[in-house]
Amino acid sequence: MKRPLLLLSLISILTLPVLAACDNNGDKTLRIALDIEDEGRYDELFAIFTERTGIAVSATYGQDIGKLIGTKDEPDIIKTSTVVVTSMTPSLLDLTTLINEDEEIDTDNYIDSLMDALTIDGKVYALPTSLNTSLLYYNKALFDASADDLRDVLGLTQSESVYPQADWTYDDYQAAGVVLSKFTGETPNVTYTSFGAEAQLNWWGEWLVYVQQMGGTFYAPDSNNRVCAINSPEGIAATQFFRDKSMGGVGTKFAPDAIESASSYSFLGGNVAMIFGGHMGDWFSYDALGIDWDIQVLPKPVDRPSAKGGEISADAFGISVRSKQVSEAFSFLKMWTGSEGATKMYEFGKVGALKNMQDLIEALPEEQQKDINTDALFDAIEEAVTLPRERDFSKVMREIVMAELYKLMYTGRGSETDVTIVLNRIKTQVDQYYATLYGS
Amino acid sequence: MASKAMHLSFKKNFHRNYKYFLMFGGIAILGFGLFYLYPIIRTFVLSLTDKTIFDTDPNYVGWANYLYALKSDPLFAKSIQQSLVFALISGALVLVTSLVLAMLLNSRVKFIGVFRTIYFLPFIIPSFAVGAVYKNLFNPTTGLINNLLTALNLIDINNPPLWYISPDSALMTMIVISSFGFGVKMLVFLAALQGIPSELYEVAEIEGASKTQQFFKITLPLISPMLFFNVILITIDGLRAFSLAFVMGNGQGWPSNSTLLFPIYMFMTAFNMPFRLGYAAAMAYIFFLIILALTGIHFLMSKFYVQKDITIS
Repeated sequence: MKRPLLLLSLISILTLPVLAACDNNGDKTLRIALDIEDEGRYDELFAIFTERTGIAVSATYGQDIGKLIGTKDEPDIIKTSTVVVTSMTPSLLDLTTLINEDEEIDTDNYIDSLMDALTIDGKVYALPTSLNTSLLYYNKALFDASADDLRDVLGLTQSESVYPQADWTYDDYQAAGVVLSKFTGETPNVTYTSFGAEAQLNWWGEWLVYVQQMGGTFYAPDSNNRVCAINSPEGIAATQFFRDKSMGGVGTKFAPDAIESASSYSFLGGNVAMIFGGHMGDWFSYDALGIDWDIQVLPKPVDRPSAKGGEISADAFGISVRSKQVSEAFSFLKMWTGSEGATKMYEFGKVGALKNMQDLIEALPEEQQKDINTDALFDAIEEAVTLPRERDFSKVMREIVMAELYKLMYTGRGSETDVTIVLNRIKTQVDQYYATLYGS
Repeated sequence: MASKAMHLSFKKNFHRNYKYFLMFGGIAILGFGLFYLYPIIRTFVLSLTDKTIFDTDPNYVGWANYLYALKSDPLFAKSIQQSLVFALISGALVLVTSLVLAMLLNSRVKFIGVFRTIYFLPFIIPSFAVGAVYKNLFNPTTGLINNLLTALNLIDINNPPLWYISPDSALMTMIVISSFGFGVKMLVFLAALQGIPSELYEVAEIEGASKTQQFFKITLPLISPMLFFNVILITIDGLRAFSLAFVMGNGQGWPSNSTLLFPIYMFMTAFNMPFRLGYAAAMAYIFFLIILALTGIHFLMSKFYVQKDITIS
């Protein structure tokens, strides 16, 4: 008698979690995995969808999507981006047929460059929910504090704004940056207390934008992204500007070098006045820290006033190839990436990827509109380009390019001073990498 | 007849013992099979494919991943080299520090229990937190270390050591920091030291042996099995070092790949774009063979310094 009872108890204990995991009322539930910083952000959107369709959306936060896919436990809706989508296509459903058969969705409504990045070999793998583009961020309080000096150096009258303008050149950017950099002591024993701009020494974002704005490219055109062209005159000029910004003497330098960067000089810390590039995902942090900030389009090289080159990318979502609820997941994606979802995204602190996003924002009540230069945001989107579509681009940038460029950004043991030598070394290593990987 | 009886008795004993063996060892065997043997085999199978995390249908590539790692990947060679340097120097420092501290904590002084607790306390702090603290301490301009060295006139204030900022000194800085990771090894030595009868030292004193002679003739031989155990432990720990290198190198071997230890490179290969899981698996196998070879060398060398037959009469 005891044994069956024991057996029954053991089976009951084992069954409990399984039963608990089951949906009691049989309602449909869509699963989605989101980043930890998005916890609770989209709850309102999920609630609206559930109210309309009766389909619940269950979100988990901070779980690695790669591991979920590896263990075949991925959600129905998978987060990707214009940057990683190329690597993720085996896990993502081709949405092309669904899109073509649906009258409510038109991919022409999304920003073209982002849709192009999410379309591989004619197949659409994801739809964009929010975008990020390179902007010039500035701390208004720091600009106000140096207003007189800025007017002097930029030749402005009392009625003109000292804040960055849409027609700023690199010269204006540097002149303002130098004024905004404060230091004590005299050359060569100068100690900076604040800087005009941040320096992105571990991420290619800022440096690559300088290269592209000056007319250079990372890969040689027509090389199928296999040959590096970074030692071009444009690449050298851009890298020299990037280096001088941190390593130049008083009167040239306006950003921290690698040593100073390690000592908490940052826009977020309130002791750096501008960021060239930046990330729109940081807007929330700026507001939370009470920084009085605004945006402007990126400054341009002196002789290239309409240069393109800022970066544009987007968070996007696709549907798992193993999902059993494809049509339900697609309905949710349609809502999320459509006008209603994009407007909600703006309320949640992000900017949707629709072409008419500016109209959607301007249609909102004034108190719901963010008090920033919205025109600059959409002008910046117009002049931005997506990253090269190359599977190993991030790896090459991280492990070869930034590793070598870093050596130009400090003084002391192991440092380099000659930009051309470093760029030639990068080219050799990158070309060798691709030659070994794909054959020369 | 006798042989049949013996056979039956063996069979009976075997069945009886087999039952107990399964009862006691079953869970462990199941655990080993599921959590060690299966991943080991699965990793090997993976290493023969071009699988990325997102691939559902990877291709078989034979030994290509192994050949690429050994012949064509400069970062693989660099990460292995840096891991070996890290394990060797940091290991030697940890070994010496833990032995010296264990000897100090084996002294007969008041409140020795308190001292032992205090010395062990730092080792319950996660390595990630330790790394972040040391980054502040070693900051070239604002860190306590350089400020202290400047105050003592030991460094030039205009040309201070750059520690983890320079690719030339970042690995060494990490080695210095890791040499404070003596916690468990110190306890192992302390336990071994406490097992040495005090009479041996008393006799040695009477015979006129100096402290150095006592150390080399009594202490070292008697703790040599534990020394061997610690050497193995330290070698494997050093080669597998991850958390500290992850914090110090921002998860990517920063600056300029100078803190790129092998486990970090393997992690980056598998979990950063382009997510080459198959290649990372092949690297893991090569590294496993290197650790196996080093452990084998340690076992061979142990013949020369481990006192196996210790008889204290």
